Amino acid sequence: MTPMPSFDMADSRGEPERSPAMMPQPFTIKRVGQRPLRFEGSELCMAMSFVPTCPSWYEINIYRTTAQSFVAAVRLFFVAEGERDRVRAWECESFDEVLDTLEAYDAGRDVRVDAFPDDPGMTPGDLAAEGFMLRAKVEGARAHYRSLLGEILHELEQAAE
Amino acid sequence: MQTEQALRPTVQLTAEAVALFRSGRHGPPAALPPETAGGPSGGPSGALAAPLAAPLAEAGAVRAGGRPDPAMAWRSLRRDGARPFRFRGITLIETGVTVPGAAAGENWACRFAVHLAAGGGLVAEIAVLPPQIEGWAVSRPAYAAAEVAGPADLDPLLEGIRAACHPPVPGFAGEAGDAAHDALTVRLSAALGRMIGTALAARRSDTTETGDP
Repeated sequence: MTPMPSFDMADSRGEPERSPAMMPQPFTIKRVGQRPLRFEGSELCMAMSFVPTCPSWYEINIYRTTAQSFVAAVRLFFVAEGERDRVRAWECESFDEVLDTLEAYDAGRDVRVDAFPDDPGMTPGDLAAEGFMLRAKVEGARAHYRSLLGEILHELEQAAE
Repeated sequence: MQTEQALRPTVQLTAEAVALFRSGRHGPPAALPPETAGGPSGGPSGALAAPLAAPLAEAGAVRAGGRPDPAMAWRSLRRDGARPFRFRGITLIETGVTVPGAAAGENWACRFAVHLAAGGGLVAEIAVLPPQIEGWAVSRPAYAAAEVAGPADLDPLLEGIRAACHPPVPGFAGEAGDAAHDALTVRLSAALGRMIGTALAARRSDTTETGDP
C-alpha cells in the first residue's frame, strides 16, 4: 500500500485568505452577447483556478453594489493568444441568489464547437470521434468550474463556522 | 506525490462575504429540524436499535430512551459545484485507499466515509485526489457527498467523481487516466457498497424493532 498524501476531509479548519475591505468603486463587466454590466460597489469574493500547465482558467467574482444588490461574474481566460476570453455576469437581489446562480451555471457552454457536422468530407467515424472529443471537453469544463466553485463554497463554510 | 494543498486555487473572501453566507445558511437542505429525528431529508425516526445506537452513544449523542440528540454536532461535507452538505451526525467509517495508475508513480488517492445522521439516515462522502500528470488539466481533487438509502444511491456520486477525474481529452494522458479511474471506480464502488450494505442492514433492524415506516 502506498502512503496516503495529505488529504483533508470534512470539518477541516483552513483559514481563507481575506482581502482588505475596499471602498466602493465603479466596475464595468463586458459580457458575452449582452451589454456591459456597469455598477458601483465592492468585491466580496474572488477565486481563480490558474495553474501554469493549464491552457485555460476560471475566475469567479462576487460583488456587492452600492444599491445593495449583488453581481456574480464568471470569467474564462485562455493562455493562447488566439482564444477570446469569455465573461458572463448576472445581477442578483441576494447573496443566496448569487450562490444559486453560480451553482446553476453550466460551464459546458464554454466549450467551443470546432466540428462542422454538415461538412460533406466528414465520415461517420470522424463525426463519432468529434462527438466523443466534444463530450469529453464539456465534461472537463464542467469539472473544472465545479471544482473552483466548490472551493469557494467550502472556504465560506469553513470561515462561517 | 501531489498534495491537495498544492492543487488548491486562489480564493479571497471578505468578512462581509462570510457574514452573508452565514446568515443565509439557516435551513440548509440537509438540516435536521430540531427535535425531529428524521434522516437528512426524511429518514426513519424514533428510538435506535443497538447497531446504530452504539456509535451514537459512544459519541455522547443519544438521549434517554435511545433517541439521537438533535444537539449533536453539525457536520459539513465538501462538494464540487454545490454548497457543502450539512447535517447533524457522527462519522461511522472513514478510510482511504491508494489506487495505482497505469504508469509508475500514478497513484490515485481516494478517501471515503459513511456518516450517521441524527435521525438514522446515512450520508456517503467521497473524495479523490488524482495523480499529477504533466499537461493534464484536470489534476484536481474531486468531492461528492449525499444522503444515501442504498448502494444504488452511490451511482450519481461515483458518476460525478468519474466526470471530475476523467481526462478532458481522449489521448491526452487518456489511457492511463482511464485505466486508473476504471480501477478506482470499481474498487470504490465495491468498498462503499459493502459498507453501505452493512449499515443498511443495521437500519433495517432498527425499523423492524421500532415499527417505524
